[in-house]
Amino acid sequence: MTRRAGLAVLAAALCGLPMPLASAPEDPGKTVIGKVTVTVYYATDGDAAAAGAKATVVAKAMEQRLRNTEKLRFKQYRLLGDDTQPLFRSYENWARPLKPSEEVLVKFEARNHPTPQATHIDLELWLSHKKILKTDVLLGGDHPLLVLGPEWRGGRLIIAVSLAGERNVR
Amino acid sequence: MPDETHLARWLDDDLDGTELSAFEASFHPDAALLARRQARREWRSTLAAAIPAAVELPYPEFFNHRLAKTIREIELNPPQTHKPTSPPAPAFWRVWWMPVTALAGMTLAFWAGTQTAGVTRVVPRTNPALAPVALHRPTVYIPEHGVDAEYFTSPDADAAVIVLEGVEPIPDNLDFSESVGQITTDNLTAATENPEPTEVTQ
Repeated sequence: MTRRAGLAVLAAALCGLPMPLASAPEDPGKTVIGKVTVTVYYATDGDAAAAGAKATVVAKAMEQRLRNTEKLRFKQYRLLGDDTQPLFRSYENWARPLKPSEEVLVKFEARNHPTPQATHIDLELWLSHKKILKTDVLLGGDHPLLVLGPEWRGGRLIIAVSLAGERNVR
Repeated sequence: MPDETHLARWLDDDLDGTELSAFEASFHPDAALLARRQARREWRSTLAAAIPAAVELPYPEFFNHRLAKTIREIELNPPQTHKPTSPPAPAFWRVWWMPVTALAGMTLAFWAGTQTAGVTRVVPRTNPALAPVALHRPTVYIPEHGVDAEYFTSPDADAAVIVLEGVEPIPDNLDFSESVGQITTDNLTAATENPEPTEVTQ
């Protein structure tokens, strides 16, 4: 190795340039232990067309589920968006159901390892980049969390948080 | 006077052979005791007719032992009545009807238990496996002033529900459908806290 080459290697090391790691250990905290789906619905007693042309109708089962709860009962429902993200063993994660908009963000983190009956997670609801709600929920196989959220265009947003695979909640 | 055990067994026709001969040689029952024995026989006949012959009581030795013990206890210590105003019952009836009633009650209860042993229990509407989910009471923290949250579970929707009131409305000019496809990761303060940034896919 010439003197110039040696100096180049030394400079790279001092500058902190990344060096390839052949056998970097896997981080067990990044193990995916589940998936969480966050869905945003538009609920209104007025004209559902206010949600926009791209908003889709809500599945009958989910619509019935919403109508069965008095405080979530509206004449019209529309699906605005959803996002499914992995639930890590140790790290928090975020769902952006209205992506790329950041108007509605949900941060979640596992509290313990899921059981066949339930998954216990810490959850935060962010609206307009402000933390509005922090809670812990037990999500069952078909037992979502429904949050009646802010007003928008004469209606309300309903944020549903469920374990992934519960396609019947859409 | 014979001992209570032999007397009770004699009343139940439980003595036989030499035991019966020895008992009857040393004891001459009066008319009241003979009437008691006859009443018991008639009651046993009534019960035998009421209970199907095909039904065999499980654990018969245990059943008979407990039955005889109960009868003896009642005969030795008859319960005192607390109604002094009512006329006293004839001694004959007061002596025999209580053990007979006890016999009938125990027999019918025992028989009813054998009939319901195979009955399927009613399954609660709520899935027992999900009971912890339905019973969970979360901690709800609202950092924003002026925002209220109400938590409840909705059995009809099979969901946990949080109703937020006082949240600042989302501007109507925000059109989520128009933003589709326009990925903007700048100013995403939330993502900077994420140790595993999520790849945004459409």
